[in-house]
Amino acid sequence: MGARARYSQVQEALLAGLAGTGDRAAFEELVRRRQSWLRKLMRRLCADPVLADDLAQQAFLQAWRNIGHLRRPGSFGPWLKRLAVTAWLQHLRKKDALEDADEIEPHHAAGENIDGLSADLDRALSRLSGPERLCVVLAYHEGMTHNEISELTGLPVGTVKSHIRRGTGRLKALLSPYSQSPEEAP
Amino acid sequence: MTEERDPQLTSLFAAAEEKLEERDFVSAVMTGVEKQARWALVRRIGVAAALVLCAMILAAPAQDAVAAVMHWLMVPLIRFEQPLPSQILLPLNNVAAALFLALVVLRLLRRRLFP
Repeated sequence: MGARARYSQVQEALLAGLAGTGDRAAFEELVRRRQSWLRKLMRRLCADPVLADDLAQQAFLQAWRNIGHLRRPGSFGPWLKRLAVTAWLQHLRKKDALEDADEIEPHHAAGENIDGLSADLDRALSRLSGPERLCVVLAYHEGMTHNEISELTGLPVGTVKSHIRRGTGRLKALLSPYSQSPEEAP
Repeated sequence: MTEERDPQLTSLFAAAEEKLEERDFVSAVMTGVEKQARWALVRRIGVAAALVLCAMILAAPAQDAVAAVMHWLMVPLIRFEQPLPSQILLPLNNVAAALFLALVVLRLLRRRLFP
């Protein structure tokens, strides 16, 4: 029986524990299970599938380097999300300060379907400032509370709330064609 | 402030959910993992080689230093004219024994002062 088949039924916490001991097959299974979720999160943040995949890959590699230090293997998901958000924030800082990340141009790789709600949502999100985008995505895409977002990003709770309020308003205006229902939208 | 979310945006985000296929992503990550493991191995070999080199260079001076310290630890504290008492008291009459005694006393004092 191959490692993939062997680990396909194993719980994530156990896989994280095994990966912490250097088991690459266990880590591969973790990547397989978490890749779609993490890449989608990064796409919402970046509006650029290529960059999003690069940052998701960076986060996974960072996870592999440090998974031995993960105290609670059951919290692999939140820990990975923290690594990914940190990678994105570092990318923004590299490009310039967070404020200069406003209005990024969405980029779609060749062959990507650029139509549809998902792409429109990414485009609309890309019109928000970096901090607004981060807070809105974590609130609506990840379903995180204000306190959780504050803890993850290091922003004060009041700032998180105002970013979400402003971002929500702008996003609703940008996505007004979908105001009837997502299915009926253009 | 309430944690309420805008229902319209919530449904838009939910409707935009899509499962991304693995394609080459997992293999790209695992290639990176392999590369990291190779680099880690190269680093470990480098450190081991450096340690062996240091050991080879420093072995003789370190041995001399250890011999000198051992010799100093065995220096008698009190000199006797007769060889017999000198031989009998040798295990206690040296710097090492005095240091050991001092350590025992310090430990006892510490236990008394900070129980």
